[in-house]
Amino acid sequence: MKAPSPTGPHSAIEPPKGIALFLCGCNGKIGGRISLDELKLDAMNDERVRSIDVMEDCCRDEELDRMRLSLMTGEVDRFVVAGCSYKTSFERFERLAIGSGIDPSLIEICNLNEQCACVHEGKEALEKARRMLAVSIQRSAMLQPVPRTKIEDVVRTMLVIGNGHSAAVASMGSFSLGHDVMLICPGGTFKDESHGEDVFTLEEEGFDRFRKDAGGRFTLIESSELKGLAGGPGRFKADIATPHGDIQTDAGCVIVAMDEEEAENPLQTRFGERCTDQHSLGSMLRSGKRPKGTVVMLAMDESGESAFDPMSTHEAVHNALYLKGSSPRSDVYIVTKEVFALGQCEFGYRRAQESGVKIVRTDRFPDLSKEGEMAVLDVHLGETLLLRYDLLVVDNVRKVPDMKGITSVIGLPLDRSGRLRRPNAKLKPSSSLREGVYLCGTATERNLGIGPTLEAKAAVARASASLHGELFAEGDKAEVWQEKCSACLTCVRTCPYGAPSIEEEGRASIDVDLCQGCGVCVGICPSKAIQMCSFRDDQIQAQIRAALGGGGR
Amino acid sequence: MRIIALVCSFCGYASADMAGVTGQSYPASVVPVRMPCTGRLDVSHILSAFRNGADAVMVVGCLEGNCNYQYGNIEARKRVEQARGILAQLGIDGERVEMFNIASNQGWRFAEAVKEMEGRVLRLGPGPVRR
Repeated sequence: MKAPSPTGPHSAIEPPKGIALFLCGCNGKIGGRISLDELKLDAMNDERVRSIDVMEDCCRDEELDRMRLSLMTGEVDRFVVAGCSYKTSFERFERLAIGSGIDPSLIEICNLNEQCACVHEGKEALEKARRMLAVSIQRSAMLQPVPRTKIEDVVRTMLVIGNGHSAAVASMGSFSLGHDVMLICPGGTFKDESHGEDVFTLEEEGFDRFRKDAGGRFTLIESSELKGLAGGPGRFKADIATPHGDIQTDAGCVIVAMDEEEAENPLQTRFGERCTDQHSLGSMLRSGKRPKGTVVMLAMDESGESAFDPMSTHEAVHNALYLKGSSPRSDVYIVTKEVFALGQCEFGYRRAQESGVKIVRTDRFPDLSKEGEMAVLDVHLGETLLLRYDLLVVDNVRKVPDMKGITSVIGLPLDRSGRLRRPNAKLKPSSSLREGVYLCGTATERNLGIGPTLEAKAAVARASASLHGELFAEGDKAEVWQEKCSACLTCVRTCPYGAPSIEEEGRASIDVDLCQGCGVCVGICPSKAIQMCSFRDDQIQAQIRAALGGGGR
Repeated sequence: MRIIALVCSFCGYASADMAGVTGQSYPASVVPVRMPCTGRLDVSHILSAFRNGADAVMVVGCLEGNCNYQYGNIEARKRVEQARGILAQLGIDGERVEMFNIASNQGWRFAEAVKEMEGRVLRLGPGPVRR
């Protein structure tokens, strides 16, 4: 079989020039349990290993200098460190490799600490260490340089896509971190209607003032739509359709900050004048007016379920506290199934209770047949309470905007309720499925529970941080060997990121900007036409053979 | 005894680390081989492990729904099932290969998984090549 490209996962592997092996004693943690001299003797019999150093502790700077000397002899082009977990030590050795003129994709780390010396003792430990080291040397010998290019001119402009409060916060945050900002608003005019969710934590932010301050470094394009997004972090190219014609712009990162849109609560039409929603009450309070008499807040929907969304009780607690604070003698009730107090709202909830807001917990929708009176079953008292009210406040209702355009252009999937899907919220908060695209806003699945303002700030912080330091294109991505591809569409259907597509010639090809290197397509391809540089099938099989004591080659 | 653990670079590898850090003990017969994600798994990896003398193969990925790459671990489970089908035709007990979903902080579960595989090998005898 002929190699189709000079570099890349399908080319023939060049034999290693030489491997440098470093056996780290880890301050006695490994050295005290496993005889490093025995391992050294083993490795000396392998002609691929050109230099072996037994180190006291690779974490020390003077030891790093010693390693650098061994690497710069010109006899080796790759190295294996037998020490601790690659998760803790990889970055350190990556820097060492770059400093010593070695390709960082040719580093192999053999975890003799956590996965061997910490667990096993005596002969068993030595035997396992031997096998693990054989696996690592085998892997190192078969590694090939991963093609990657440094991006010279990293674009630092932030492209924010949004329609409300989160987008405003994201724009202001990006600007304050020194980025130029372009904000595109998919639907109509841009409104920053903070619903007062975060009054417990944050000062009021002035979007208008920010627009004046930012001057030419902030661009707001209304009624516009993203038509295309190519490239990766630091070098996105976005096509935007605006009312004044199509434009193309460069961006470093994209922040999708779509908020839910306001909708009318069906309960409000039923009760007419004596009824308002939390949002109108909030703006009334802010303008200095106070409702007269008893206020009852009904934080539930018609089926008696707790709320339209967790934010509703949050808003009810906030407005009740505000009302009670400004006119302590007024009577305020919140009727709900359960109070959701997100983050800092917990303090507001406690203060609301202390200041005399009465919270009635019920499991069903109250009887509202008489005007001005509500019969509600308090589940804790077990009695029906009669509440006379002068003003009934119902929840804000919001609906998820149509985001099909954004999802198809950027490649972000929606969940069943039409919200943008997040990847693992714990491992990758604020990230999206596409590299360099960050998510915030209430139209996103599974909010992080810190409120929209903080969420937007978190997304900005992560986006801004990702543009610091060096950025690389390509990397260890999957690649199709065109001649072997039978265009069966298996990879197209399996890829979580939509990276593979069928080219005009009827062969699959993988977009390196979308590929994140998981290897799902590599494992599933029936023609075995897809490979990854650092995790090729022959490599993994040779590692398995080495682990089982067989000759690697 | 020889057990191969094909671990993903995220929870699989980290749970093995965590087992060491928290002082769990498990049989030394297991050797981990790292992959980017268990989704990278190929049926041929499992088969070649048995061909080269493994007694058992364990695949360790993240918890379902927690995969760093969306659903690589679910794909891996399918491939483990596929490998079992092929092993059954060869007269090898499918219990010799198992998929485990372990979170990165569940070192004790990694240790238990290795013990479980060792128990199976003791019950079923040495692997197909070493019999």
